[in-house]
Amino acid sequence: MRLLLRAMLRELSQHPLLNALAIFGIALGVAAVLAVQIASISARASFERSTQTLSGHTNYVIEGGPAGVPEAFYRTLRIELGIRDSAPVVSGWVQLETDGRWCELIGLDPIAELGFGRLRVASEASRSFSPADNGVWVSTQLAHSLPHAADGTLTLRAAERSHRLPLAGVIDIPGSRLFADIASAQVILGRGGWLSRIELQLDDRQAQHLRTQLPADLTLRSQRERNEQVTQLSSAFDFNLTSLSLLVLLIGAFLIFSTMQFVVTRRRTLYRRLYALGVTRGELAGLIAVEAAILGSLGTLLGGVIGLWLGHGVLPLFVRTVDDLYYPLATATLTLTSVTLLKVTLLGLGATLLAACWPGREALRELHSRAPEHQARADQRRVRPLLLALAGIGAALVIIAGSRGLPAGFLALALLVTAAVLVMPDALRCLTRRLHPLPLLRRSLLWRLALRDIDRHRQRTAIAVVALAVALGSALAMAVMIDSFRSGVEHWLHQLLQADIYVQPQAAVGNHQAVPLAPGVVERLQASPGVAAVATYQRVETRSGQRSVQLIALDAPPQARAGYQLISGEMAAAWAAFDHGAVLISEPLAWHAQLGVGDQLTLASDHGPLRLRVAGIFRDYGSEHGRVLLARPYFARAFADDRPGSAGLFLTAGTPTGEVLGPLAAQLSPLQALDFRSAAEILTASLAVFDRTFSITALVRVIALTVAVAGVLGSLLALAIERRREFAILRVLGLMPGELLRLLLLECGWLGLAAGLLALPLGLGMAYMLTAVINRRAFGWSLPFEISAETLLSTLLLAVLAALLAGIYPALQLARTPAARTLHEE
Amino acid sequence: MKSEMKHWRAAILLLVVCAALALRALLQPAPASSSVAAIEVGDALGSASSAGYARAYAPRSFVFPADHAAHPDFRNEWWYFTGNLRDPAGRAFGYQLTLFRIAIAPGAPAEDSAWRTHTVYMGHFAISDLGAARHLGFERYSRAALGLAGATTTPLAIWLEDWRIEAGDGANPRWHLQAAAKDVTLQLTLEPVRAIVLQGDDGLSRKSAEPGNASYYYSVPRLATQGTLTLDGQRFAVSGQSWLDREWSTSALGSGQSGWDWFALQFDDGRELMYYRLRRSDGSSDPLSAGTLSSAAGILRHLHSTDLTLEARGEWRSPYSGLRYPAGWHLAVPAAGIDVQVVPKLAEQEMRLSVHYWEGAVSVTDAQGRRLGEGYLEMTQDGPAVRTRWR
Repeated sequence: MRLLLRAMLRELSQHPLLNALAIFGIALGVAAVLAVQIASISARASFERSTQTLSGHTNYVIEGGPAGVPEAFYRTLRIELGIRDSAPVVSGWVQLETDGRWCELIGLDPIAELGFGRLRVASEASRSFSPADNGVWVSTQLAHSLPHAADGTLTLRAAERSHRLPLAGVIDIPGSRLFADIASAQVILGRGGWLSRIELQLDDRQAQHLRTQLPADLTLRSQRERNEQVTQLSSAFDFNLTSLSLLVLLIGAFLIFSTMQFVVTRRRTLYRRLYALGVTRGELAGLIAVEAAILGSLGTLLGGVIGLWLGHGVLPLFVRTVDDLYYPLATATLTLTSVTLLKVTLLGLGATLLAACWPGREALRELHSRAPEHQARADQRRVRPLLLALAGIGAALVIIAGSRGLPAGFLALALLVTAAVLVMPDALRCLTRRLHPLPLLRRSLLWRLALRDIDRHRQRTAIAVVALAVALGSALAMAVMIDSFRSGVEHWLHQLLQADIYVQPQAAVGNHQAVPLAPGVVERLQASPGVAAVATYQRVETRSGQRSVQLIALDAPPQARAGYQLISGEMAAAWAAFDHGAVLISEPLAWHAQLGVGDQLTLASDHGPLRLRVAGIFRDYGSEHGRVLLARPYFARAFADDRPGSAGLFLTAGTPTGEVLGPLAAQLSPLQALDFRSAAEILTASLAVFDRTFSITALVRVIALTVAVAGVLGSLLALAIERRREFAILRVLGLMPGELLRLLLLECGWLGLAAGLLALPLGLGMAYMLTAVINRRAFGWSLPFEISAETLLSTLLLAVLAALLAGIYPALQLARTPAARTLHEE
Repeated sequence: MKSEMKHWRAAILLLVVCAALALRALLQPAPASSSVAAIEVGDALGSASSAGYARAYAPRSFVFPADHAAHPDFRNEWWYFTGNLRDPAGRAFGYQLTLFRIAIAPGAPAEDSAWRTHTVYMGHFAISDLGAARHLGFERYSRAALGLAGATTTPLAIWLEDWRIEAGDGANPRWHLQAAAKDVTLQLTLEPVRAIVLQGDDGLSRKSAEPGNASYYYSVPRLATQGTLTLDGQRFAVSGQSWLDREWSTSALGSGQSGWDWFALQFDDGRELMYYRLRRSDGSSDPLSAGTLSSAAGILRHLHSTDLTLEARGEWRSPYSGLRYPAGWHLAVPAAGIDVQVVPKLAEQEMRLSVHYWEGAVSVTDAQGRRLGEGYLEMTQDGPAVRTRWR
């Protein structure tokens, strides 16, 4: 076996570039998976770690409607219901005046905290956390990044007011957080009379009992459920990215496959000799496996390093997206679990070994046969991949029709891609054969040579072409999906933003806190000259069952109503019902909660569960969890705070925006600091968030393409090595080096073009799956399907360029090698 | 061949080293959340400075029932009920219900939130189930906000959640006590059978030589008590005798004092004796240790450390806290013809709460073990207990 190993290592070291490419391919695949995993696990772990430390020993939470829990209920809970292991919490976001950073302020009762063990004052210089102290304590992380105020105070902005507070000390807890006594927190956050929640320590029996005693407007759930709900917000996003990175790994596995096939093909003679000498089949299989394992380990190891580095780089981007769209996450520390490492290692090694299986089996099967007739045999077995492909497509269709889940959607997608991969070699052969009879090509000797070469070596080239086609197809699919998505969003925003000017309190900019418009603002807006109508909006976060839902209290004139595009329900009837207390719900909510027009929707309100009839479903890309529109008068009945948070102004026809804006701003400035924005500005800002969200996907796309190019390069290198003798003969027969170069580049170019042509249907099919199935399942919304000729052409161009780029080096090498030397060596 | 092997090995080695370095650089230890300790009671109760509070410098004229209510200008105050009870079948119990008012900052707080307060209440509740030889102690805290805890004058009530002390009308009123914890519920009505006793110098009880290190202190040494006690679902109709101690101060214990032993004894012949022995760090008795002996007719005799002898008998070591307490006492007031043994009815009556101390029902006997009376005994070691009660 030692001898065998040495023989193998020698082989491996003879083609360092080829092996390097295989390792590189695996490495990139592993790296992409690892990076995405690291980013999503770190974000989640950071969130969980900080909430866990913060929840301490508490395991249950009492929550109310958007306004929270009335504080008087806390007394009821402790005295009448006798639940003593309970702690009131008032929390909200505040802005540090020094650098404009937003942090969570958490107000606790230090006396109720006795025994909950979740706050530890960190340094000697800190004052103890006491109810009589009206200062603020900061988390360790925040303390490090805080500029030192000479007078030992910290100025916070919240609810449109500045509060200068003594900096009382540091509390040893993760995240960027501020702590204060509950009374101070209520005052700072303007939440007098209300608690954000009550946290409890209960056993299950107590919890069950308490549930039956709670008033209708309050709910009890476990901390675990609550945290899960928050992290689940981003699960579709995580899942999409993970799937993308797996795709990269798949393409990486193609590389291994082609390398292993090359290695094995070259060694057919060696294997046969060894076999004749008495080395067993098992030993040979082991040899191939060890070889694959070495490539796989090296690739995985390298991929691990690159993945860590990439993950480190991607993390802030990821955190930003999660923070933009899902849940507050100011920073995340890189977290790497041994499970992640193990998973990625298994994935890397497994993909390599799997990729080596097929060529290995072929080689072992040929041990008996005298000539390598696999080409013919492959043709005989051509029917099988076709049948398999058809079966795959059938299965995919059945899965799509019979399920609603995201994983099933991805399974169907994977099946379809696999089916496409199975038929691709045949499709390639058909394409090549179609070229033969073309009279223009028949005249050129080089073309004829090239076509024959391609046909002859299609076993070898097919893999490269398929790899490139899959990579290009995925990239195309992503591009089409993102384009469709973006145009859908753009169109939706155009339609939705009907008002000329939007007004909101400046303190609400950034979305970290809800700040109502000051009393009188709406009235003055309505009375302003040039203003034809005013729409008002108030957005609150509430729940429907375990699902987070945005509820919007809407007071909309007909102009504003026209912005909502109904996809179910008749326009006039729906708005008429809306005026009588029915709701309009967004498409994602309708999808996730399986609601249709006429169904009932239950929402948590400040006065108990609110049962509402669905009058219509509108298109919406604003929240993947769902939005509900409710007429303001009906909202006011069920929610404690019904002050509008923003307004849309509709100007009388022909009034220039600028003419109204100046006087309006001046007139309102004594009332409140307001932010005026045109619809166009909001559109631009929203699209900027959209583009930022997809910047991670762009990165994964680049990696996929890089791997594919490396794959083509590897295949071509392998081919070049195999065909050295053939080319030498051609040279001897009189083919000039330049002509040889042209021949090779022709072949490459054709391969690229073929890959591009194959990528088009594959990519469009995948794009259709992504927009119509995956997006629907992940986010609940339907997207338009937009294909631009530009995207298609650029895919073809990219294919040819990638193949040519990959072909230049092997072609130059071949062309430069003196024919005589090659022949002599042989 | 050899050299190629070396290349591979070198390459692998390099990769491994790279990976290890990258891992080391990137794997940051997660913060150890398990080490986070609870807020200490001392932390929550704020600074120990007595500036800004009223202090007990001179005797004052007590006005009842007003002085039964809270005195928020002083830092600490308590309503301390103890007693020995029996059910008709003769099963004996001891009880303690104490509500402590603790100011954490002087002055009135801002009125910007219902939660804003400068006052915290602490409650200690204990039952000595002498028949079953077990002692149950409970503790509660709450800020005096939102009606969770507090004290009112009319009607006179002091409460900490559902632990309530209420008084009826009159200068020396009837009291109603109510407390429940886990499987214990106690409801008692206390009828005073003795006049209010002003301890120390007309109610000014000096605890150290430094002026202001004193408290205002009065007792109702005997209250006829009846009510119900529910233990693990079993209801007992109980009756017996209670003792009420009322005290408020800002700063009491001086430096060099490390603890005290407090006796509240009710003799069967109608006399009552209260004596506190302030213990110095070196173990000796502080000369300021003091007490009163009241006769059945209500005649008071002030006791000073020179008037009596007090010797600890034996030692009991708590198997739970490891603290050592005297297992009994020999107390003699020769001038009053008192020479008694004070023996715990149960050795294990230790309160293991945020502070540790021994507080329990005791028998008063003569040298031969014949019953002369009963009462309550408190023994503290140096530690936070001292600060909470006597600070």
